[in-house]
Amino acid sequence: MSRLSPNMHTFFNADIIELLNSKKIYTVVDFINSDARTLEKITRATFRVGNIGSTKPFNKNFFCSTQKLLRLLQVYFIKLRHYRNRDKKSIKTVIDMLLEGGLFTANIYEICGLPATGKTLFCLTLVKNVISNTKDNVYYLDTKRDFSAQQLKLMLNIDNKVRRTRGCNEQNFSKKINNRKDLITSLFEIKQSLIEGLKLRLIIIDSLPALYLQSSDHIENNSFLNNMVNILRYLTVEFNTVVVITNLITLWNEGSFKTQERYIENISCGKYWYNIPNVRLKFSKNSENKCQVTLLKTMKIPPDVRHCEVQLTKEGIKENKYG
Amino acid sequence: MFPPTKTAFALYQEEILNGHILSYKESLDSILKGIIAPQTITEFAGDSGSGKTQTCLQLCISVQLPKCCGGLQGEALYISTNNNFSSQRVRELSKNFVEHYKSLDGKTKSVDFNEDFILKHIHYIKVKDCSELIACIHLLGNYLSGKDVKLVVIDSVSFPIRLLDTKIRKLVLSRLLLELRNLASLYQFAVILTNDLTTRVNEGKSYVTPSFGDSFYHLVNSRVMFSKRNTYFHAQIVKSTFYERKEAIFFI
Repeated sequence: MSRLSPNMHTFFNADIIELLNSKKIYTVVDFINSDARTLEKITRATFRVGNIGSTKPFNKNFFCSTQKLLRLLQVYFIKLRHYRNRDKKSIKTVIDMLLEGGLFTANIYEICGLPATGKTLFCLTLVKNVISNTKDNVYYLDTKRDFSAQQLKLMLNIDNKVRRTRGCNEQNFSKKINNRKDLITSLFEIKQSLIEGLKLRLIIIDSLPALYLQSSDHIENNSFLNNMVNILRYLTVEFNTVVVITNLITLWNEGSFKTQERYIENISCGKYWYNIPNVRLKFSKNSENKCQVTLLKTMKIPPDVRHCEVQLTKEGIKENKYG
Repeated sequence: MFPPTKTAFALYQEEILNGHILSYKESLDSILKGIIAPQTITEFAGDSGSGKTQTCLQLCISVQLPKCCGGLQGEALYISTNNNFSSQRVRELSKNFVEHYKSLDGKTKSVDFNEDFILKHIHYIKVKDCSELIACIHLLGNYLSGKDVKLVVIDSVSFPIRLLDTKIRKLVLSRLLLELRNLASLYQFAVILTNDLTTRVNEGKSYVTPSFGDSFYHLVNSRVMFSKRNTYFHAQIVKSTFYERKEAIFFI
C-alpha cells in the first residue's frame, strides 16, 4: 500500500497531498476508494483531472499480473539468501537453541506474555547484544515510554567487552510513538533511511497492544494491522532486517463466580494478528526473577525441547544456571 | 510530520537531566530510586489504609525540592476523586518537612522553604465522576500552561472507572493514559495513579489483585504494592523499568 507521492503523477504536488492527508486520504487505496465528488471538493480539481484512477501509471505499478510469475521466482531466491544471511542476535545459548540458531532476517518475531514478565528486558538485551557485537543500528519504536536509556547503559557498562558505551548508544535510534499514524509514518521514514543506505538490523516495536487498545472498532484495527504488516514484511525481506514485536497475554474467564471455570490465556490484538508472526515466544514468570520461555510457533518443524528457563537480572536476560 | 528520532545517548542525557522524585523517607527511597520520573506512569496499588494517599501527599511536597535534594523544583497537581485529600495533613507533613530541610547544610539551600510556600504550590482539582475526569484531562493542557507542574497525582483512578460499564473500561483507560502520556511528554511531568484491589477467581481459588486487569497493568510503567502490617507499612515494587525488585518497610 503505497503512500501518495509527487513522483506518481503530475497532479500530485505537495499542496494537493497535504490537502488529501488532512482529510485522512494517505495511500493509493484510500484515494481510489474515495468518492470523485469528495476528491473534487478537497482538491478543487475538475472531474477530468481527478479521474486518475483509471490511468496507466497505477496499472503499471500495482495491477500488472504478468509480473507475478517473476515475483514468485524472486521470492524463492530471496528465501535462500536470507537463510545464508542469518544473524545471531539472541542472547544466551538456551534461547538461541530454542530458536535454532538465533533470529533470522526476513521474519517477524512476536514476544508475548502476561504483564511484568520480562518482555521489555528481553528487547533491551537484544538491543545490547546487537550494538555491542556488531556495528549495525537498531530502531526502537516505543509506544509506552518503557525504554530506559539508563538501564541500557547499565547493561552495557556491566558487559566488560564494551568500552565505548557512548559510541554504542549512538547506534540505537529510538522513537516515541503516540498513535497508529505515528507508527506507520515512522515505518515509512525508516524505509526511506534504508533506501538512502542506513545499516539497520533490528526493528523493535514495544508494544503493539498500546496502539491496538486505542480503538474498539475491529474494521479500523484490522486495516491498521494489515497496513503495518505489509510495510514490515517489505522492510524485512528487502533490507534484511528482523522485526520483533511485543504483545500481551490477558486472562479471560468465560464463566462466572458460580461456575468457577479456569482462566484462559488469550493473546491480544485479535485473531487476524494471531497468524501474522513467523515465530512466537511466550514469557511466563515462575518465581520472582525466573522466567520460562516457551516456543509457541515456529516457521520450521518444532524442536523436541520447546521451552527453557532464564533469569531476569539488572544485566539483562541470563541463562538460569541453577536448574 | 515524522515523530522525532533520538539516539539512546541523547535519551540518556535527557533522563539524567530530568531526574526523578524521591519521597524523603529513607526506607521508601531505597526502592523508589528512578521509578517516579517525568514521562512515566506509576501505579500505587493497595488496600484502603495502606499508605497510598499519604505517600502521594509526601511526594507532592518533595517534588518542590531542588534537584540536588531529590525533587524536581516544580509544582504538584492533585486530582482527587474520592475526597481523601486533607489539607490539614498536608500542613502537618510540610511542617515536619520544613524543620528537616532547615537542618540541612546551608550550601544546599537555594529556595526559601516554608509551609505557605509548599501549600501554594500544590494545586487541587476535585472530580466527581468519569466524565469530569475525562474532561479534566482533556483541558489539562490549557490549565498547565504557565505553571511548572512536575507531578500529577490522580487519587484514585479506580473510583470513577468502576462506575462505567465493563465493556468500555479498557477503551476509556487506554485513551486516558494516552492523553496523560502525551501531556507528560509535552510538559515533562510524572504521573502517579492510585488503584485499589479486587478479587479474582481461578480454579476455585480466589486471590486479591489490583483492579482493571492485565491490559491496565500492561499500560503503566511501574507498579508499587502497598500493604499495612500490624504497626508498619510495607511497599513492594512488582513492575519497573529497573530490574532490582525490592521491598521496603516504612512508617507514616
